[in-house]
Amino acid sequence: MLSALTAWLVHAATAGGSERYGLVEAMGEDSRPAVSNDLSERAKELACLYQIDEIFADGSLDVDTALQSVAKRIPAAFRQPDHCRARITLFGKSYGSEEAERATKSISAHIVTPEGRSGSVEVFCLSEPDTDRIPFLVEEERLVQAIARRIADAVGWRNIEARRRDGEETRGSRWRTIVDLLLRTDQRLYARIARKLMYHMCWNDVPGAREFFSEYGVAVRHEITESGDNYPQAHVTEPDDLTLTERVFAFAEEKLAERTMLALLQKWLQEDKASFAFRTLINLDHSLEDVAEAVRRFISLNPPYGLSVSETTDRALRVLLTRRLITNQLQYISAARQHLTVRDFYDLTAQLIIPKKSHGVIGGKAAGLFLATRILRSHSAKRPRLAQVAAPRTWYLPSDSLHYFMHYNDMEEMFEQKYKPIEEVRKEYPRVIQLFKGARFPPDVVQGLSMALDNLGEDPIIVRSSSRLEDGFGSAFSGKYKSLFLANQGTKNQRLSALLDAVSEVYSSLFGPDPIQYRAERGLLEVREEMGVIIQRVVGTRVGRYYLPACAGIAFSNNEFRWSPRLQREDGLIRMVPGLGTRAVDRIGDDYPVLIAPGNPSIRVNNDPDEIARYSPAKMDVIDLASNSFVTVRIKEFLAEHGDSLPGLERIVSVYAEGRIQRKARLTLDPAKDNLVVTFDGLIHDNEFVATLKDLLEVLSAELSTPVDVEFAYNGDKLWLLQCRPQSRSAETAPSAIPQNIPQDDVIFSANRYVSNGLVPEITHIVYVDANKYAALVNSRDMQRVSEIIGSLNAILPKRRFILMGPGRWGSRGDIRLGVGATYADISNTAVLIEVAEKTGDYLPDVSFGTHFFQDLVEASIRYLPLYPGDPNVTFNQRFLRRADNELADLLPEYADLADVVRVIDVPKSADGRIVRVLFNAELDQAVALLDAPSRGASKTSELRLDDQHETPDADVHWRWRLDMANRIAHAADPERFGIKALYIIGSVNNATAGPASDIDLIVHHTGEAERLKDLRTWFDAWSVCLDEMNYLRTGYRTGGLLDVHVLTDEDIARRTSYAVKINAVTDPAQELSLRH
Amino acid sequence: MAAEPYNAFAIAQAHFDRVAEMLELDSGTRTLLRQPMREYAFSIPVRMQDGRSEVFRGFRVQYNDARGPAKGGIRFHPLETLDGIRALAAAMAWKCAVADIPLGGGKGGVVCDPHNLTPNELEGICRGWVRQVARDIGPYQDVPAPDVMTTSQHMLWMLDEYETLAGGRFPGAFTGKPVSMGGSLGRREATGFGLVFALREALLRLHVKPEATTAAVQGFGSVGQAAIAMYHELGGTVIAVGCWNQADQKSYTFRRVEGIDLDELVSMTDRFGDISKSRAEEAGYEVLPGEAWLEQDVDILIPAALENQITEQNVGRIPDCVRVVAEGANGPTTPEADRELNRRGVYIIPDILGNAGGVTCSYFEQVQSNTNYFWEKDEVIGKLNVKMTSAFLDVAEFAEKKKLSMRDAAYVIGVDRVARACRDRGWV
Repeated sequence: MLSALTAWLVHAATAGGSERYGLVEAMGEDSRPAVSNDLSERAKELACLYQIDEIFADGSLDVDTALQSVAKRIPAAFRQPDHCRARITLFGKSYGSEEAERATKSISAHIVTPEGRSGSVEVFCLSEPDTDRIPFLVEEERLVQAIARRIADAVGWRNIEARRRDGEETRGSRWRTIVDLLLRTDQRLYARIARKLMYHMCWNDVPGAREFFSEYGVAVRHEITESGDNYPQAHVTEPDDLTLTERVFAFAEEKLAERTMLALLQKWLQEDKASFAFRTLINLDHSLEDVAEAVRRFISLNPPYGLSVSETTDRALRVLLTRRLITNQLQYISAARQHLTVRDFYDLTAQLIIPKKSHGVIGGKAAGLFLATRILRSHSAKRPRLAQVAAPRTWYLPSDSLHYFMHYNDMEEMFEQKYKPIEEVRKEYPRVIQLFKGARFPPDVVQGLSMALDNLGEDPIIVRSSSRLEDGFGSAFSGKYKSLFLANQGTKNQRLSALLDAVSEVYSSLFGPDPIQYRAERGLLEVREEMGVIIQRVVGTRVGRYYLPACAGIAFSNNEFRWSPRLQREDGLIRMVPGLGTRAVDRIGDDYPVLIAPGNPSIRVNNDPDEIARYSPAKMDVIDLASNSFVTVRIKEFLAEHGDSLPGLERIVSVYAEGRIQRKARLTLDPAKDNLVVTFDGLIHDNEFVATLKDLLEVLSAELSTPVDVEFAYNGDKLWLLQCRPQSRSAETAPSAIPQNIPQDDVIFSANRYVSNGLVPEITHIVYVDANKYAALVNSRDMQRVSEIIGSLNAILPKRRFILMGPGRWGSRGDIRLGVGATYADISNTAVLIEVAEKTGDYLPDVSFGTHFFQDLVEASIRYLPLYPGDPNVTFNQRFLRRADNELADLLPEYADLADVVRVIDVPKSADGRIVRVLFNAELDQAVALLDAPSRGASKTSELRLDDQHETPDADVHWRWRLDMANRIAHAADPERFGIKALYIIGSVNNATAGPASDIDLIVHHTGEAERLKDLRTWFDAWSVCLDEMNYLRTGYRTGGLLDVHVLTDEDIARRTSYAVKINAVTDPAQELSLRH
Repeated sequence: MAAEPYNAFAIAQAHFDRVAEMLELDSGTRTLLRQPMREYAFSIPVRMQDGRSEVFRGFRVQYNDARGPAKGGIRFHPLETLDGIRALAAAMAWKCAVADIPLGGGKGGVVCDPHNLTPNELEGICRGWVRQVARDIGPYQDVPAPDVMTTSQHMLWMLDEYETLAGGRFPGAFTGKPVSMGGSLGRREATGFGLVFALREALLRLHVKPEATTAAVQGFGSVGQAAIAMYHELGGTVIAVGCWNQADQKSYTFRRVEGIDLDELVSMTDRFGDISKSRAEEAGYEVLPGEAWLEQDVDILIPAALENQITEQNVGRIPDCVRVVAEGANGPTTPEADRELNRRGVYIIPDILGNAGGVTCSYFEQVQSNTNYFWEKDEVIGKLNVKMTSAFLDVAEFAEKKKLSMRDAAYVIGVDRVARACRDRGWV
């Protein structure tokens, strides 16, 4: 040992040593301790190398044990042995420390065996031992390299030994046998493998490989020649003869270990086997059947996950499968390739009913759910709650099955349907449905559906459309096609024929007037629309004669209806009802779903027990198994009878008694006697339900890179995901572009807090309650009268064409000073309710967020906005609001004394014919109301939409047609016979804002003779019904009667009561129609 | 238009001044009764859900407790003001005196918006409120009750905090508790029954047999329903009920000239108080516009819904046959309409007397809680009958003797009783 040390020192000295050693000498006497320190370091290094030699020399140790010992020994050679660890990696196995993750610094060297780079030696430092020192010295790096070389030598020698022994025992290696077999059976594969092997050796620096192959003229390293972008690259020919191939294998035999070769061959042969799948998928001529077969083969060759192929091949396969089975949409594919495995497609094809020669996909709705469940699966390790989310069993009919069905029944002429006038489409639609229901299904489809039915069992099922256009990214094509619930009861034949009937009805909805009109409006008429169908088991339980889930609903990642300043948009929104989710998805009007913000579930819409009870769901949708139908029942009656057998009842309802709403344990709950209120309090507080939905929304919107909405059901034990799609953005929830550089005078107000998305296109009237004047009112009776004014204006002003603006908390019960004491009925026709937090005197009024009728506002789509005029960044155009002519005294003369408190502004009159447009953009948290030219039509909104460049149809048709009809009525009426003195038109037809559902408001100035009035009413009724039918054919809206006739007598006109104010009114006056004389 | 903004307390003081003038109170008594005896204003720090602290402003006003412990609700409202609470505390003092129950007047509140608070935060406010005033409230000092946006749950949180601090069980420290936790039976019916007990005495004075009378009721909540039940018990016939319909967002009047059947109508009512129009029509009721209830040819009108229902505009539509208006709601008649009804000689049972059954039952709850002995419902109703009858008689006789309107007479008696208690104690 000592002699070695001396020799090393002599070497160092004669070679001049490193600079450091030179420096040591120059420092003379004082540096002695440093020199001796260095000497002991070097001694440690040498000792290490010797020990390694000894370990390898010991023939009794196998390679693994030897390497393990070496790894253990290495740290001792380093300056800080306690902080150092070593790891050796060789042929994919690793030895020594596994604490690499904790390392702060590391050094490493490759182990290059005769087979190329086979592994590495790493030494790492676990903590910064001494900040003044360099973590590793140059010498230490050299030591690591030396160790790597020693290992390579030792292992290489052992391998050669082993190979020699193998050779003696087997006479030629095992892989040779495989290669020889290939040469005899598949020369092309043989050549492909040889080429792969050659490149493998070259790229992995197998010693001598490059030189060897270069001799044979193989350009082992293709490089981009610097010929410039505009010249073609030189073509390098690759020799492809059998001699070279032979040499490749011979060279490999010499250089590579048996096990390496076997591993490589196995991988390449599997990849080659997988290439059939590739070829099938790439060739679009192959049918869906072929695709499914390819997937089946791929999996069955190496179950359960299929052939093992390289990462790139795998990715290519998954992308191709996504294209063939699901969609071509890039956004979807990029999300899908992170989460879908080939196995998932295998599972999908197992539930896919494939008609002959089909080339279809599963359609938008199916695609959304399929991907969502897989995304949740990939996140379930990090968020264990998501592992509990289930998806109902689903069968798919591909999108072109509709065409197959129609072709089979010679119904192709149906595709011309979409070019017919919409009235005709609507008129023919009932016949179309029957035509579809009468058609026969091809036998292979019937067989597939029968199989699906057996698999789904005898629980109710839902048959849903899943068309290519539906639920795609960027297109809000929701609810246009049919979804049908089937009770699925009876004999197999009955159930199957009900299913076939439902599928054909869902098919027929492609030719319904509403989707055709919608497509025409969006410019999607020429897109080849295909309709897939999904058949799902309905999540639920049998309760008495009914079938239903405990509750269901829809959840959104973005909350567009925040009811408290403490809620963020990202807190999301859940709309939930007991029973089937249909009543949460649609806005029902007479009932309320329970609203929860999953990000902050403690902030509820309603706090007062009375309010909670009033705004809780009263009815629910269920499937009636006895009558095989979908029915709506009253919750109170249902629970009284069946509550005891409903799973999860105690989590759904609370008991309202003695001014409190409380949860009760299941055991003490008496559904027949207790006053039950649906609150979902148990679900919200007791278990992880809301947290799971929150996780789910977060994960899905992050992975799909878009806010999503999901439909879900809960069956007392777990959460089921029923649908997932990008959050729908109907016109009312899409963000509006906020124009910049608008002249200040044209802005009525702007806002930058608590803004939701949307657009209110055409405001003709502003009702403004002046905060200062209101606060200055002395007696409460006058404040009460202000509420009465609002109520009266609500009845007179054009519906959804006016906005209400006023101080503080509207609808406050109790103290009326805090804001206008209106009830919901007093504001039900407004387009926007604006609470102004305008400082009056010494206090800033609070805003209520419309809490007193929040849910009414939501269900009626009335927008709410709080305004903070004190904020320096917002505009509040008081000049306009205070100076514009006030129409109050003319509209409601009895309240003229309050004209300085309540101002009614006829916008077109005060602003040169312009109207007010209110644009909301939640992304920017900005809203602005500006004066703009009217678009002379109901809702021409296209130029203001961000995501919609298509032209809207001519919206003028609705009011023009109505005015035309009103004139015809006037002309047809016999004034003598009916006692008509004059006939006027008012409302939306008169101000040219009528939409497809608007009625025609007429005022009849009548003589007052009862008999004639009765005749007149009968005559009008007949017109009303006829016009309604005509309007239905034109627009699809049925109102039960299109005429709204108001009869006035001389007395009414003299007293200017009710509608009489409209005649010769200052604002929006009634227009007289010319009668027959 | 006056420049001074609307101030409820200023209006209450003006009202008091008028009564004080009638009673010719000396200046010391006047000054004492014109403002609260004691006021507490304090801060309530609460740890919010997200970890930050928020400080809420709380109040308690003990307007006058010469006749007994102060009594009155606690309101949670975002724009609560001390002046608003003062006005309401004064009203409680007069009301308890009119009902002749041994209690003073008080009111309290917290400036907060329960709509923006989680249940835990609300509990924090309740407990914080009690911690600030625990030494100055209690069964023998001041007894709070639920009010605007507070419920029996809030009372239980407050009671629990109070009892923890006081080291014992004092259920009489708060009223409005659920029956299972020291509340009183009969609370739901008390206001409506009390109103009809007063009505019965009024008819007696008018020499009209109740069984020969008909009535129209506005409101079909707990007050309206209890009033109808007790009035039917007396033999009278209700022919019309006006009530709000949530689904249609408007009110209707349900009329059946031969008399309504309370149980039948209740069975058609959903839990939101909406009477089913179709089922009512099937059962022979006419469905009329909301205000039709006051146009009926009846002897008695019972407004038992909201304030400001009988107004200058509609008072003319009340037919001449109406002889009694029994106010179950708070302030259902506007001052203009009140003047017109008085001019027509309609007998008015004013709200301060008419709906005093509610506070009387709170008093009973307190008595039961203090003795820890709880009465059967019959006993509660029986005692209510006695209290309401004598309270009515006091007001009616005084009004007749002094030629005052019932409303003025009630106020005068209330103020007078409080003033006398102050004098008896030698305060003034």
